[in-house]
Amino acid sequence: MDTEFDILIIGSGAGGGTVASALSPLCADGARIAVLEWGPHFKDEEFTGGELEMAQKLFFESGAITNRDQTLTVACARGYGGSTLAYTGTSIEVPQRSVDHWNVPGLTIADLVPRMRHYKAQNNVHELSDEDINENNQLFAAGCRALGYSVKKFPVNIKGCKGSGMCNMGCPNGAKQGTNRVQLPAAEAAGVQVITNCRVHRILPHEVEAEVAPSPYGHPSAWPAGRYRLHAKVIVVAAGTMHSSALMAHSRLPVSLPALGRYFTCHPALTLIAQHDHPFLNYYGFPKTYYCDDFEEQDDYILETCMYFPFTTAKSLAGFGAEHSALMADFRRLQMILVLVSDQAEEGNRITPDADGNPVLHYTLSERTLDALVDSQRIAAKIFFAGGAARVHAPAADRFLIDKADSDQVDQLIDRRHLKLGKISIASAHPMGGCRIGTDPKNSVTNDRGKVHGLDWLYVADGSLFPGSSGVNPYVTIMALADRVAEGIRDRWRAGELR
Amino acid sequence: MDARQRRPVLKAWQRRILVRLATCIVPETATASAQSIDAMVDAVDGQLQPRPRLQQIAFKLLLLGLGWMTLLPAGWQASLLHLLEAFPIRLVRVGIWGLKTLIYLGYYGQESVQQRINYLPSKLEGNVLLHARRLPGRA
Ligand SMILES: Cc1cc2nc3c(=O)[nH]c(=O)nc-3n(C[C@H](O)[C@H](O)[C@H](O)COP(=O)(O)OP(=O)(O)OC[C@H]3O[C@@H](n4cnc5c(N)ncnc54)[C@H](O)[C@@H]3O)c2cc1C
Ligand code: SF4
Repeated sequence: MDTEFDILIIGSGAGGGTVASALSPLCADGARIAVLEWGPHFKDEEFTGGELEMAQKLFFESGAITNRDQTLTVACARGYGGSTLAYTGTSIEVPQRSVDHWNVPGLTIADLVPRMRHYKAQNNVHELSDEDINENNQLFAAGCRALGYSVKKFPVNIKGCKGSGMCNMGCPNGAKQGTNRVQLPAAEAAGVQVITNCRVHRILPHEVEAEVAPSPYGHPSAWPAGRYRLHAKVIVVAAGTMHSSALMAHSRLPVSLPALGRYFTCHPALTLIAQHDHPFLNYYGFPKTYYCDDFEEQDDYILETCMYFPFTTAKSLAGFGAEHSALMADFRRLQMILVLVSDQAEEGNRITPDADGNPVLHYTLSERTLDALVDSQRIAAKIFFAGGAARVHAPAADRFLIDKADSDQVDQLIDRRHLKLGKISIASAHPMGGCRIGTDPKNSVTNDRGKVHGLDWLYVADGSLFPGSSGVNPYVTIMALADRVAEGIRDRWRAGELR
Repeated sequence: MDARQRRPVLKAWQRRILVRLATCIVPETATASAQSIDAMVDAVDGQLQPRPRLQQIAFKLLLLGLGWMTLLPAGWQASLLHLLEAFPIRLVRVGIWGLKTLIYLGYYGQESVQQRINYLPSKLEGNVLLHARRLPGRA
């Protein structure tokens, strides 16, 4: 098999899959392009919907990479399609205020919007019709409206959805449009090779050390098991926020990159749960339809609907024993809201590699983030009650359940004093930063086209490019940024620089 | 990569402590079938297997540290665990969170338990059932 390439792409998620498809027309022009993906290419029948089974198959560390002080877990998936295998598929454009806040010369909302729209169209993004919206979502909307909050419908990227509600375990019906369904197959059809079960261990100038290892799941890799040294004119790192920084730092690149791994953000999130007196239709149908961003600009958080699975739900509740069991006893009575905080990019929040090149996350939840997590619980509790909930569980309340009779006191009952890190399950599915875009190599890693400062053969094209958090669900923005990176490489190829 | 092929992490006495602690965290495990209890402990073990040795040792130390507690009356055990769950030292809180999370994983991750709590999703018919307004599970 070939070990000489023009372009090697590491990772096949939102970033890597997009770069692969955007560069694939170059194959007709003779370019040799390959994607190296650590995880397997799952077979359709392997998306079983079994909660534990899928967590173990699909995610790094079963979906719970913890930070060093173990106060936060981060989920990212591994496989052909990366985390787009597990995402819900809500497709939001980054708002102008986030891009303005990033303040990177050359990176403008005007440039990003057409790219975001292009990928949204490719992914069949649209709003769900009202008849497909279940009661978990309807109750959220009703609660928001009763309180005078605005509620918006998520644009979602599904085609032929059967309403199984299993999106975060990988869609069993091939309905969710991830890079596994859209960009990667198109890239392969145009001549890009995708090598699965292939972990890149190290990046060297114009070279990578990779290893193909058998997996118990998925289609067999295109290459036999073994170690490989592959050469390329250009290498694009798109291993996802958690792994790109770790891989690059582990590789000891021939330039000094003081900001590598730094300015990590992740939208720390809490799943809040309320109980109704009667069962309702909460988990049939697409799980995530509405959100409220009234509090994003001032208070740093958004509220979204969500509906998780029994273990994930049980662990989201602070507490245990009889009251916990009573809440879990009838799943059909549970309503859920996810609150996500727009955390600030701080230099000290960073990823470093361990001895094997795996990521070690050093992340401290700031006072500002904790305040937002508390405030968002108060708002969520009010929305639950306004929607008719009988009891609400808020991890920062002074008791396990707040009863409807006490609903006028949620501002007092939910308090920072009760938010004990390590006691509550704070989780992230949106890791961002670590290879941030910018102009100054002291506080950024790549230029505005994703080219690593000081190296003309190395690019980054994934969530790690974000200079700060996006404030909204990030995949559409990642695709737009990856598209810019691909455009820069394509221009160099066409100018004859890479031939 | 496949955890099922590895050797168990927990010894028999550690499994016994885990089962006793589980009755405090999920009271209905006290009356659960032997099969369900085995499945719970096997799932916990399966999670520990791919974890670094240091983490496995930390979990075993936690079991050892909490083992004596299971000799106390149930009410006392619960009060003590509640105290530790909100303990001023973060490391203690993290330990209890880890224990609880693994027990929830072992118990609520079981299909039979999911069915019992009326979690019965349908891979192919979710929208059909939604449109028909058919509530899942028992009345
Ligand atoms: C449960 C869940 C729900 C989500 N829901 C939404 C949503 O509704 N909307 C939204 O906008 N976003 C959502 N997200 C976030 C979104 O999926 C991610 O932000 C996005 O996929 C990240 O893209 P990426 O390219 O940075 O990384 P990923 O998509 O994670 O891809 C990285 C890939 O690189 C591979 N890799 C890593 N290291 C190596 C290596 N050394 N060698 C080879 N390959 C490697 C990994 O296996 C992985 O496949 C969700 C995420 C999760 C986990
Ligand atoms: S709800 Fe729809 S998109 Fe989500 S997993 Fe089920 S069929 Fe797929």
